[in-house]
Amino acid sequence: MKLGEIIEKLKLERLTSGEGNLATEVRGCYIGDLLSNVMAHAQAGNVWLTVQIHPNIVAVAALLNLPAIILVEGHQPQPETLVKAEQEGIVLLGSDRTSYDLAGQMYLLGLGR
Amino acid sequence: MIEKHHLPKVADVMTREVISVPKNSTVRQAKEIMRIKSISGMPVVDRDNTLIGIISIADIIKALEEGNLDAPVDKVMTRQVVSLREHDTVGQALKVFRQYGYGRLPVIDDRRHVLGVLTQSDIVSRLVQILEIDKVDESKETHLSEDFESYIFEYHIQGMDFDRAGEGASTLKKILNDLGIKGSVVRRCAIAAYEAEMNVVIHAYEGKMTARVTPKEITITVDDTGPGIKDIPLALKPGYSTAPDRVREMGFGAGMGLPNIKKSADEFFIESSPQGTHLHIKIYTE
Repeated sequence: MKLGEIIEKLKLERLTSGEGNLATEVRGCYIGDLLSNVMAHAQAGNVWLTVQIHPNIVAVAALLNLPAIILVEGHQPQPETLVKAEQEGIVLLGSDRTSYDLAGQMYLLGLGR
Repeated sequence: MIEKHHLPKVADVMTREVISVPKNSTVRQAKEIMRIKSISGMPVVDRDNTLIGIISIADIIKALEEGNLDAPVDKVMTRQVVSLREHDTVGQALKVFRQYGYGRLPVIDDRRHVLGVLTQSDIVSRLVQILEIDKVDESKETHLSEDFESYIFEYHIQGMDFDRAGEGASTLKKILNDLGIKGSVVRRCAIAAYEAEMNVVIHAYEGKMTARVTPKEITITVDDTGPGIKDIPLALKPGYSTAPDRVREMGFGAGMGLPNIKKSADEFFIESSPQGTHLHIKIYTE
């Protein structure tokens, strides 16, 4: 399923304006707030769910070819994080829901199965 | 447009319209030119545009204090000029800026003729353009570059600079993609380089990452000045961390850095003393 469709179905808020990755095929998600765990286990094409908001999350996503980061439970990014995300073409998304809830919905949509 | 944008050169980023001052102009004239053009320094040249010095605001202030405003600029200029060449890489130029702390550097040819001037903001604005180019290129199929034997990438890492942390690894990843290295190998290099870079940012004062890429293997070395690792076998245990709480709250320092590097590498070597840590890894491309 394309990232754009997931954004619509999960009613995610788009925090960045870039359109670059919206057509990217998403292959499941990875949940984690410890960056080294994310580095070790998130796979290319995964959407990353986290509560971390600092600019380094963009570097992690870019290095792993993660098309988007969802900041869960209403966490707002630092301004520099938005700037970096626009630069690197990473889609930054927001939701008030929990990681469990969002990941569950993605699972029901058939992602990563 | 830059053809091989993974290795921008000074020639790609420098300003070619150079505001320079002839050596027999007065300090007063130089001061006026700098005021009108809002610049903080100028190359001083003789008749055939050969570089003989640099005049900066500091030189002018000194001349003012000594009542030398009507002296020719070559009497008060700085003669020991640090200069760049067109074929120097932007990385090398940045190193020179960092080392000497000058705001602008002249670019000269073999006969010391002034070809351009480079400031750090020239580099930044040009790199932004290059990043845009990169974005377009990333969507294209990568193809194996056949004409490379070895490629060296060097990157300076500043301790506690969390804003730039990860940029060294990002740059290396782009280079490896450009060189046509296989995706799974790029991933392992990216993980190892990122973790090694973060270790320097979190724990050390500063460090240098060097990557040597050949079609057969990628060798990454990271040397830092810093407190060193007291107990390496312990540091290699997943979950062991000495990172401060503030850093852990950001999600760093999970005690997975060295284990991740070791897992990504085909060869792994680390040694440490209170003066610093030396990490050396190899990742095979096949």
